[in-house]
Amino acid sequence: MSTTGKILIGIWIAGVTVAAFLWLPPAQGFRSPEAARIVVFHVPCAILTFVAFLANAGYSWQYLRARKPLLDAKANAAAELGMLFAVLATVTGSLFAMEQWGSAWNWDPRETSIVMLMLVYAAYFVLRGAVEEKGKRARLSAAYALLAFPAMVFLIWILPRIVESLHPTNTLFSRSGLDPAYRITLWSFFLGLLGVYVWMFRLRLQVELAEARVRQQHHRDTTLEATLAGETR
Amino acid sequence: MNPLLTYMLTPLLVWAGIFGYLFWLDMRLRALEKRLEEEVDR
Repeated sequence: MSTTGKILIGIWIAGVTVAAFLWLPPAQGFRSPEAARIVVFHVPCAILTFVAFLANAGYSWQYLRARKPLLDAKANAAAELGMLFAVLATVTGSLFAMEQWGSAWNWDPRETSIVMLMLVYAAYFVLRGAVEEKGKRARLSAAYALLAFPAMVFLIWILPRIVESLHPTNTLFSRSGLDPAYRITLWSFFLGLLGVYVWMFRLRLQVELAEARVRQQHHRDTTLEATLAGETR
Repeated sequence: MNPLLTYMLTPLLVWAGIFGYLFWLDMRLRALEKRLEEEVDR
């Protein structure tokens, strides 16, 4: 990503953060109208968690069809970012819960489901760490990612809707939901975060490629050393 | 905690999480590039 792009993303997110503080009015109907503005930061993190895990499943599916190592690297990068945003959504959600419902953790269906989701994807990283052979690791983790995907959809979209929850549903799109000013700020912050997501994703891929080059160089060196040792014997 | 303080803490946490991860990636990339240079020199 170009430096100009990064600067623009930084300015955009900083601008939205300031706007949320200075322009957004305290929301009436909440226990803490001032703290209600937390939703404009919390909800985009939760949406990006879904986007990242969806990308993980997409790249895994593509990997199983094409067997290209780059697709496996992309799936891993997306899962890592999904985990990061899941943690951020949980922490910001806990701060909101503390103000709105009096306790940082209420075992609400959405709170429980995000913990289950993080455990599901933690197992993905454990699986990746447990298999040394690259091809096998990529195949197994891609298959696991495709199994985790329906669980993720169930935990994010279905479970919180079939049981009683403290979280409201359909507030993002329905007219009777969030105040328009809140909706504008929330989606603006989401756009900024999406830019940051692309930035982090590309940087993560660069790290993956650099690791591959180091491994390749190391392998070349050890092969050369072994050949030289064989010739001198 | 003061609700306004809680609210102000939220974007800071999001920023800290994002920049912490970016910083970690950048450090890792620099370390790998340095290692690659060393391997090439060797």
